[in-house]
Amino acid sequence: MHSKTRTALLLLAGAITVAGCGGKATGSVGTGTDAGLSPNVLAAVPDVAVDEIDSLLAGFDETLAELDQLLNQAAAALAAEEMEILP
Amino acid sequence: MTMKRLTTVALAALMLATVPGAALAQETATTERPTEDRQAAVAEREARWLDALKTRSLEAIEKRLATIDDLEGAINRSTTVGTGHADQLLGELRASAAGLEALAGDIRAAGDLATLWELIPKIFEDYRIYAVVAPKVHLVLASDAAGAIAGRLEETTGTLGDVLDRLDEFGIAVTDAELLLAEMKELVASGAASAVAVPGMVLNLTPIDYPGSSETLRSAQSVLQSARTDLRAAGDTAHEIVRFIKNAIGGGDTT
Repeated sequence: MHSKTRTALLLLAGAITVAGCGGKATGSVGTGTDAGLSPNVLAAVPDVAVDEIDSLLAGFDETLAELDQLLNQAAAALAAEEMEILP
Repeated sequence: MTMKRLTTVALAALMLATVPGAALAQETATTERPTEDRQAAVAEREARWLDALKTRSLEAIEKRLATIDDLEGAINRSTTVGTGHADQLLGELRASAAGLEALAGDIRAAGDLATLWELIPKIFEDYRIYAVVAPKVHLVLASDAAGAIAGRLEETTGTLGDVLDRLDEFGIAVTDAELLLAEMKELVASGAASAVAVPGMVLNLTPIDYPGSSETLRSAQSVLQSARTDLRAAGDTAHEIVRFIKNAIGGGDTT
């Protein structure tokens, strides 16, 4: 291969590699189905983000249970209207 | 049931609960006495009725004061009630407590049945602790709690959206998750709108709004149930999106 052509191909390959790192992922990363994801993807979704979501959702069921309790109290209070006439 | 009928039933309940046995026994014992004795017996009987009615009325007031204490405790323990709502509710509860205590003083001081007869209906009609105040407090507390949950979920939609954007930048197919996120946002918005509507429906209800207030309170309860349903669904959707993200990061199936 002519040296100028070889150099151009090497430069093109380098450009593709750089573009791949900064933009859309290629290969296994692109499908998202392979076991090994690029470290770039892991860096894109750092643990802190996942932890943040986890912590936001962690207390959700408990908080909703508290809301249910308040709703039950409201229902009981509405049902107790007859106490108004039975001193 | 009309207000007049409620009052009549309340008064009848008081009378039946306090005096029938004693009254009947007294009537039988006095039928053959001279007039003077009968008058004395009637006076004695009325004095007993007066005392019995006072006792029952004061018990009814005490029960309401205890309920007011419970409601104040619930407001003070709430971590989600809005300051404005708490201030308004606590102010109304304190005014009711002061009014009932003053009424208790009037009842204690009443010297005859006619005066007492005028005071007793005030226990119900002027305060409506069970028909209006207690449901109102509980509904406002629940609506503010629902609003707080909606706020947390809204915050979560922002974080989830950011994470999905980052995954998308790396070519991971996130269309399904984005659809779930859009659905979640709608549920959160709907739940929040329902929750925030409730205080406006019930906060300004007063004892004079009874009995029409009952329908309003039940409507507010229904709106709040709807908020709860939306927020539950939004939370479930959020969990589903988080599972998607964790699968994507861990290399699992992202479809």
